[in-house]
Amino acid sequence: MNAVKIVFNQVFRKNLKSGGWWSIVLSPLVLGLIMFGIGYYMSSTTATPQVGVVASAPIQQGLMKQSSDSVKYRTYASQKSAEKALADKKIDGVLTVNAQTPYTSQYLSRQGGQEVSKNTLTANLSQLNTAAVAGELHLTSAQLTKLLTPPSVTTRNVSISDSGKMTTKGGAGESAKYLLAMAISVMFYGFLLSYGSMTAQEIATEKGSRIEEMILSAISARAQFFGKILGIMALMVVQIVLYAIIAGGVLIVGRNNATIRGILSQVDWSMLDATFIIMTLGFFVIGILSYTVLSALLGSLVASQEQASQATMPVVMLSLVGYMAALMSANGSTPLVNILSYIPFLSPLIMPSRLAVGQVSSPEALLALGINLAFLAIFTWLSAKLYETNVLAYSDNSIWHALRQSWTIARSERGRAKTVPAHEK
Amino acid sequence: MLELQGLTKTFGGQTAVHNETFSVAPGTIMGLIGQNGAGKTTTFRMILNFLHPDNGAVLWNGRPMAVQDRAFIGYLPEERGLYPKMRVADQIVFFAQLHGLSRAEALARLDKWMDRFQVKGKKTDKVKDLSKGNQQKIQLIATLIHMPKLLILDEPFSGLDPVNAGLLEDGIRLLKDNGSAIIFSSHDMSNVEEVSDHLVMLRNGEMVLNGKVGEIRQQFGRTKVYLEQPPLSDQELQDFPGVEKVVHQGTRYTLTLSDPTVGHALFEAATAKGYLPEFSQQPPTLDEIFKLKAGASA
Repeated sequence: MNAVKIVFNQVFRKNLKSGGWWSIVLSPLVLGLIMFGIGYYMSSTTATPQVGVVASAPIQQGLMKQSSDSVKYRTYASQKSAEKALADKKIDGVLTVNAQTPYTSQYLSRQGGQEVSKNTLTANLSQLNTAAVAGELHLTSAQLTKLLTPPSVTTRNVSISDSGKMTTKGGAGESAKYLLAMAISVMFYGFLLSYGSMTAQEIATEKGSRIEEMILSAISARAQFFGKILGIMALMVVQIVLYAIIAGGVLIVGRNNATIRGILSQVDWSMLDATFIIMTLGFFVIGILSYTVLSALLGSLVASQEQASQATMPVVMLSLVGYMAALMSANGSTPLVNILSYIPFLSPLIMPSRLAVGQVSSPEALLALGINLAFLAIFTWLSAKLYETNVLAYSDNSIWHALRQSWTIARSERGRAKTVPAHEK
Repeated sequence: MLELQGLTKTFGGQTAVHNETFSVAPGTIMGLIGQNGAGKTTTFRMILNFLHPDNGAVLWNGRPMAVQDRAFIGYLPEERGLYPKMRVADQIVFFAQLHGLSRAEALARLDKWMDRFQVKGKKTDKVKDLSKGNQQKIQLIATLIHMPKLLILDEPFSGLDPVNAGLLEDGIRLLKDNGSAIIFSSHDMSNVEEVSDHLVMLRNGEMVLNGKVGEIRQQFGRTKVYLEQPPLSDQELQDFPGVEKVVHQGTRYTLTLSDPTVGHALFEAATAKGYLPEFSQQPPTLDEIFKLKAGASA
């Protein structure tokens, strides 16, 4: 069995058996379940507020017709009988309306009762008020309809190319993409933080406990480095597959559940085109790999497990910048965010959401993807080289100092490694 | 056969090891001694290809170590460590696999080694749940289980209780009988003399001693005499021609001679009145040589 495979197996199996990895997998699910549970509980226990109406018969009837999920009206003949019902907790409030136009009214609400928004009451009354005023002015029903029709605003989103040509962008589809981009950004951020710290922790522990020396006496640091990265990637794939299975299960079991249907119906899923999905996935994979390699490099610089959190600081800071920029990009393009969206480490967080809201075209995103891929290749190669010297060098100084030192050693050692076998021939 | 040929390594202008040359044949044990900072660990790191020498080369069976598949090496670092949360069996299997053993083979051998080292604990126990002594045993098993052809032990006896030190000696001898070339370092001479065939002593990166344990001691001549209940007084011993130093502990005396030949006259004088329970003329102990050599330039 080759060295990469052995290390891969060890990393994969060890973490699969560890509580740490399972908490990474399960905590978002538990959180989601709790949020869903709270939402479900709230919606099932919130009763429609009951409002007693004391007014003239036409107003009472008008309001009764407007009863909805947000408020239910009941009629009372007198203020006294209504207030008695309020005292008996049969209703949550009493609305008393003066029949003179424009209507004036008083709303008496019971403390501890269900809340009714003042806007709802005002809206319901103003409709009746308008009709009453129209009646007084002897308007025809056509005139009334005209009066009541609100002015309309239609929106059209365009992108303007360098030559000044305007292209209309779709409306509903963009929101679906943006939603997906944001969901992926959040997932990306969560993944890179948990797997980044796991990688750094893993390496710092082996280095701190000198297990590293035992491992490297048998195999090359490079083989160990790649075995480890691949092992961690495999864990992430397992997590994603688990989530996909769970999501699939929830959709099958709960497809008739009103809440789930409500969430799904808000997005026009057909608008997600293959290019966008492939591109976003590309950024996801390359981005996560970049951050994992960075974490491995940083983890190899510290001297002990206790310093592992210090090692992951740059990962946290860098990804936070990307995450914030991704959120900002939704509010319109700014030169700074535009530039950042091509920079490795930041690009995978920013570019998908820029692509989603139509700030960039597919070729531009593809260019960014290319830059990231090229960077990843060079960065991985360089990290593997530095890793070789890092994991066996112990320094109490800062990470930057350790990195500089390791760079110097790597360069001088490289020269020697080449001359030694040659010397022997 | 491990060969070190003129190894030199400097760190930022400071020479860690200079022109180090020795070899360790299969089935022999080499003790690398020296004070802390003498260059022992640097030597090991060059053998393991962790560091590349400025000059010279490390060869295994005539080929540079740098181009070898290193599965035949067993290495015990000076500072020990295992995965605390991993089960004993998983851990041993991992290290064994790195050295070319299959999972099944490793598990089969583990049973024998756990018996041999009388490990108190199960294969399914997590390492952190074992006592320190048993953790040390597991660490030794991880180093020895694949029966390495080249065994490198950095200060293997430090921190071991006498029982575990004995088990380690047994383990080392087992590998020696199996034809392994073994090299270990120590700054404590007590185990070195019993275990090693050869000795190399480093001082500030320079080799100051190199040879078989007995021969090295003989080089210094039989300048030590151990006497018990001699018929001579402290003063008489002190004044005896050729006696440099007298150390007196209970009824036992240790004399340092300026020349081994003084022993004859001393023996005559000591046995002049008949029976003497002990008269032993020996070369200096390794410990004494070590102190002598270590202090020579300090």
